[in-house]
Amino acid sequence: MAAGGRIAGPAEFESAFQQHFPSIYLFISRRVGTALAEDLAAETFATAYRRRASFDPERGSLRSWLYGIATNLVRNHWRAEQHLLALDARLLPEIDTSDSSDAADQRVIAALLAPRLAAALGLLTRDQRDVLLLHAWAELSHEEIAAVLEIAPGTARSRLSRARAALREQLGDFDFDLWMFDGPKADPARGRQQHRD
Amino acid sequence: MTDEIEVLRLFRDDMPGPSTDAWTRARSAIAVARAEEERAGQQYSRGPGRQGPARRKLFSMAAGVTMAAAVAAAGLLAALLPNSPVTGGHGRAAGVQQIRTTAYVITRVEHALSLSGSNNELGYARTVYPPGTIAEPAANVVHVLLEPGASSPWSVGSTVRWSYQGRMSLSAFSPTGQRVFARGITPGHGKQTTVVVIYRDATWWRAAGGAVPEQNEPAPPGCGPDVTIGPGGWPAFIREELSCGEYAADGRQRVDGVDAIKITGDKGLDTLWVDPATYLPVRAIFTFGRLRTQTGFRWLPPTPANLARLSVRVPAGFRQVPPPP
Repeated sequence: MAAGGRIAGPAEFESAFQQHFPSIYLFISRRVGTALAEDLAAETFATAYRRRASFDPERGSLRSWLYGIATNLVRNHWRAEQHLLALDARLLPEIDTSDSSDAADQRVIAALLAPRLAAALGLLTRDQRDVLLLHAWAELSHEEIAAVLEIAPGTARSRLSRARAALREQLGDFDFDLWMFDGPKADPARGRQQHRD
Repeated sequence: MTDEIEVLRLFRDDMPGPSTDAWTRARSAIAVARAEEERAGQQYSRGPGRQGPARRKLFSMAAGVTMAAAVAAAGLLAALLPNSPVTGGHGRAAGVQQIRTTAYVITRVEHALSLSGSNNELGYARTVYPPGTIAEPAANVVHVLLEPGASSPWSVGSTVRWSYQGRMSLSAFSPTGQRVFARGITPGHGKQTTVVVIYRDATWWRAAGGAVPEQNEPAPPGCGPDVTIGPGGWPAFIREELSCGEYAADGRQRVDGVDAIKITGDKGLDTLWVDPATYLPVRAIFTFGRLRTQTGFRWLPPTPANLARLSVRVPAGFRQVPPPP
């Protein structure tokens, strides 16, 4: 019922909350950190409750409507997001790159990539980052992203294309086929990992 | 063929889902919004051409009964106990949770812990150890000891443990944050399988057994000299601690984003903070001799992402070795 229909009734809203809260929370959490995420995820659904009469499934999915609210709230915390990305960019991966070529565990690769990705995301414009992360992390379609950001689908598509190109450029020495950084460009000074709780 | 989007998703998947506290906060925020709306006497409509439904209680449906019940119980408690020696309050506003006696708090905590295994919640616990702590995985147990100044490949600074319905994973990290080992336990047909991955030398081993204690990760000793965490995991361990010492509710303190009830004790469980909405632990400090540890807890829904944390993955290229004796 709440997956695509209206959410004016308590049961529908509760159903929507149950269904979408985890993914909305994770999206916010990844962007601004867990401490702020609890407040913003709560505020997302409080705002959704207050505005539930304005949700029109004919203009977009419930999911995209909720992500729109969340994205607007996250935008108010741009500095917190930038700070988190800056911290992530300074993290050090856990394994020497010389030891990791055989250990093609995705988590190891993710650990190696995390600081580079954070640095790359930190360099994107606000609009580029929104569209990229709505696509990658929220897994919204171009049409849904357009509804979230209240832009034309074509604009969403071109903005996403530019964001992807910018990110790829930042990860220039990463081989997406082999899942490794090309030779000496990988930072050999990185040897350990710090954890953010 | 992968691309930057898949890489980003890998980055995303490394996050834990919302905690019990996050769910509770969101429900509270919605309840506030609803109360504001009711106070304002607003009538919402379902949009053009539609008629609004009769107003009902938001949390009256079966879905989310666990948290709704907890919130409702907390509200009832506040109504019954307006003057709390814990908070030192006098005539607090309705909705503020106040507790009258230590006995009541301890009873609620023990009850919450006893139900935690059947509440379909996934437990997360991160323990921080003092310098000099050594944790070495053996076939059926992880030995933990404190040897200040000693240099050991098994030096640990922290562990992270995930558990759910008999499954458990434990990751141990060095004081500088490097992975030391990961240990996973999977039950099945009366037996359980233990897998340990040792990152230092890129090896791993597997041990199968029947009468092996299920959860015996590095853990702070308790009120006895050789206390280990048994098959009941952290909930049972804390209940044992509460039963073997004297404890007192000691006011409220904001811990990990929760306005938690603080409980202090005179035994191994030095201080315990519990969530007033669920009475489940938020943080605990254990002291036994020189070993003083701090553990943070989260109680999470068993989402696919959270359940994935229970698996210990052997990285490609790691060499299998026999389990230690």
